[in-house]
Amino acid sequence: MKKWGTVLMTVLVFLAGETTVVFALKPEENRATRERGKITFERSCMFCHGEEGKGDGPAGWFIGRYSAPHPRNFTVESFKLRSTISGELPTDQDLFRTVTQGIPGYMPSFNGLTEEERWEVITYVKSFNPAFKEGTPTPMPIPHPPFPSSDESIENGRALYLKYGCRGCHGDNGYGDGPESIKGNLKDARGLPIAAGNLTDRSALKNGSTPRDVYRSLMTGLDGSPMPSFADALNGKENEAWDLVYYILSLSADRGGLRW
Amino acid sequence: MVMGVFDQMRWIRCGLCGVFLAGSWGSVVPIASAADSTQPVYDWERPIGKQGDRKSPRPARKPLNPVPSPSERPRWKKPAPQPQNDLEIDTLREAQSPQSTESPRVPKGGVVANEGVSSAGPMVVGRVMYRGPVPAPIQVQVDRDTEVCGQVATITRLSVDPATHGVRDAIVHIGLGQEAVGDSPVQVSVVQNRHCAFSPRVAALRAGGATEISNADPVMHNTNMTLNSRTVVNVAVVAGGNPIRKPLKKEGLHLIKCNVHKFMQAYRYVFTDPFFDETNETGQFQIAGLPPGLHAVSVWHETLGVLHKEIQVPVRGTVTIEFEFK
Repeated sequence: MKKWGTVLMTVLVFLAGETTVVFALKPEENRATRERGKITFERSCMFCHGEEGKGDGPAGWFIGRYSAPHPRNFTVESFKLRSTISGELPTDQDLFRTVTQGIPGYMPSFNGLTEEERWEVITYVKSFNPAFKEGTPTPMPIPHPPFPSSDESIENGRALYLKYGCRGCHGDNGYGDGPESIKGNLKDARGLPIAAGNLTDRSALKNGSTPRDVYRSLMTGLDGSPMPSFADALNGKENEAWDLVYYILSLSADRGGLRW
Repeated sequence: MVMGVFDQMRWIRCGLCGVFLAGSWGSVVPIASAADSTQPVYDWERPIGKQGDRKSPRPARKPLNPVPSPSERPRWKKPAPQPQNDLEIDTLREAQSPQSTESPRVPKGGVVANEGVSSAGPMVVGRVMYRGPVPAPIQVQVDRDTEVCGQVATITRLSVDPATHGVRDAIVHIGLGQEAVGDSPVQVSVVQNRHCAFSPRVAALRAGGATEISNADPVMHNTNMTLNSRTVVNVAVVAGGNPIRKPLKKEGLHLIKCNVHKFMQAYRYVFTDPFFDETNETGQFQIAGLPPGLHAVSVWHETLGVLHKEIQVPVRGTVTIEFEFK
């Protein structure tokens, strides 16, 4: 009996340890949290996003002044990296993921901040846009991918890549050199020219480079940029969506990317 | 059930020995259990906070297609036949108000309003005009999907009736500010991609309505709708795909573009009240159901800009107002 009790305690301790990551703690959103978040914001974010969150910080003057991306204006602009449908605000977890992981090539990761500090700064960032008070954004369901990918699925993904017009912006081989990108026809919501993502460089996948990350980008689109949501176009075509995801990831497989 | 134990506790794991410490520092909220979701999710995708921990309940979403109540104001429909010029407007007004004996008067805004008496309640009718030179349609060289879009795209941004000088596709709105009242059935504004152009190019609808995006072309488009540089919806519309319906919640001028075909552009003006109309081919508009009083009237056109006037609306009758862009 004592032996089983020891085993049970060991299992419980192990499970509790594993859940420390999952059980992310988020402080209650109140004035004190926002004030603490403001201190962190002014220390870590203000340089680019500006004192009032309008994307006009000292660095914002030259970052993306003539071409996108530009530091986000939290007061009015859309958020690119979301798990919600096009046009919706991001969830708190979306913001936490962006703050923690950063945006490859543009925004640094702030996982040097404590988890509590990150939540606090998110609370403060949300206070810039009153739309966050209107409701709680609902994330889209993102299923698990059908592991593993096959040559057939990648070949089918190539056909879908052409069918859904990805080539027009991202190029025939995913280098971001599609005709629309080359001609400079792509503009962001501010009217600034923006380049299509180079899909052969996995670090250029701003929303993450796992299959579910790419799936999420396809479904939600990147608001504020020309990248549309394919959630309606791929509705009921789950296999096509994953084939397309696997093809996109295969473009970077020979450059150090992991074959899924 | 188990999560309740952790409501006010925070777990800290020692990185060296793996021992866990439990404590309660302030008010911290654990995120929802993975069992709450039917879909397997990663830790960063989990919803935050327990439902019971929220101080206020989650506000109910506005239904896209609410059932209209019997007391709702019936949507006004344009009478037929339409008057084609000022004389016909006056004739129509007289026909609607045969007992009218009041003389025109000048309200605060300086707009001459011809009042009549109508059993249908107050109505504002008028015309938007432009007598200046009308630029020729813009010719844009098409560089992709020419088999569908043609070699040259012709874009008509200003359409003026030569006989009446009436301006088509202007939006007339009577703003009541905080006095906005009245309900109307939920409107659906169609945005159809046809021959590499949005149809209709200009339309107005009430907030809470929806836009239905469809594609009649055999090529893919995307419909990127923004409001003050904020994305309202940006969806890919594949050839032969089902129509996509999206709610429009915010008021304001929505700009619609297709990033695949840069010459495609359209507008949807969303208002919080039902007192607006779009001008027809001869620039005419009619707005009914207004409460009496002094109201601000504004006109927007894609290229001509905005005009403002004030108008005195009587308890009953018809008021005529004209706008002329210079």
